[in-house]
Amino acid sequence: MKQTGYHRIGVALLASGAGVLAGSLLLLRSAPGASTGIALLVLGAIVLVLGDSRPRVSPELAQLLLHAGYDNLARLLEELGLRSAAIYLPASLCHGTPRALIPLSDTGLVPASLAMAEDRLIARFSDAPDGVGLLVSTPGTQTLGLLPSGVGTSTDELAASLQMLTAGTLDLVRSAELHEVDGLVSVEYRGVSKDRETPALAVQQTVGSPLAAIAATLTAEGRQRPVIIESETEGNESLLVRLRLM
Amino acid sequence: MINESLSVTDRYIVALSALLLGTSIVFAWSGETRTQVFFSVYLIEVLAFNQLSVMMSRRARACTARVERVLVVCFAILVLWEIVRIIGAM
Repeated sequence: MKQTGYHRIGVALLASGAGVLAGSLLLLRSAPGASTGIALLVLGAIVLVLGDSRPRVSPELAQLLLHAGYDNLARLLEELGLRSAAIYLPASLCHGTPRALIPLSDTGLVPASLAMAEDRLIARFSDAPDGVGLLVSTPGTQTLGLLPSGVGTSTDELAASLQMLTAGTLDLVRSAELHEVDGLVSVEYRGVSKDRETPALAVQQTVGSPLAAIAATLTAEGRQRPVIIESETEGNESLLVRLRLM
Repeated sequence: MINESLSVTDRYIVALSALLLGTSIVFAWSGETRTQVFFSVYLIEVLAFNQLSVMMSRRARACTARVERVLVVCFAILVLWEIVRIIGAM
């Protein structure tokens, strides 16, 4: 429903509520009519103001911007020949902003205790000659700011934050479940609305899908440890994401 | 099927509509005639329902909070009116 749709319905409910209330009180002397009129007035007021809560950017434009961002990242990765999986870093390791580090070499060589020297696109994370990588923003980086409070540390708090973000605020899935066993975090999204265009293969291999990136960023932030996307398994309107804590 | 195609805000509106209009049916069935009671019950329902709607975005919750404030002011006016009426009748 578009912004104007909410406004139209809100005004219609307010007008009909006022009409029903006035008619019931003044002409019909009907208590059920008056109660219905008040209910319609309250409902109309809420629907009317909810029209202002809809985003000013259209979903189509938001999708275009997302694909443009992914396309630019894919071109950069292809140009540099990078295929290693991104390491999602919490804000505490990354100068206050959670980001994804794409190492130039294989992620198996990356030390467990990471510390970014600078918050730059090309950043050094260790003293080794190949201890350099790309430090990029992902959809997860931006979504953390949408949470009303910070990310919790327990698995239950993480699951609640993920559910609120993906199923509530962003409205990307119907439900999200998160489980952790021996440093391996499994996130199962159900009711995933399929995007017509998936990100380019290079981005899928390194950064993962937007839903996986959100889960990885949230887990990294909650656990305060770097996280790698192990795998993504697509099902019928579902997505299973496996994350490994480093 | 319908649930999957609706956004969080749409589902909130549908659920709130069902709650308020369902309550008006209960009022009609129970024979309640006091307008103040209608308004008070609807206000409590809206406040409680908004507290339970944790899935809504911050912007949407800020918008509904505006309506809540107006409803609470109306409720306070109703209470004052009742107090004046009771004192006047004494």
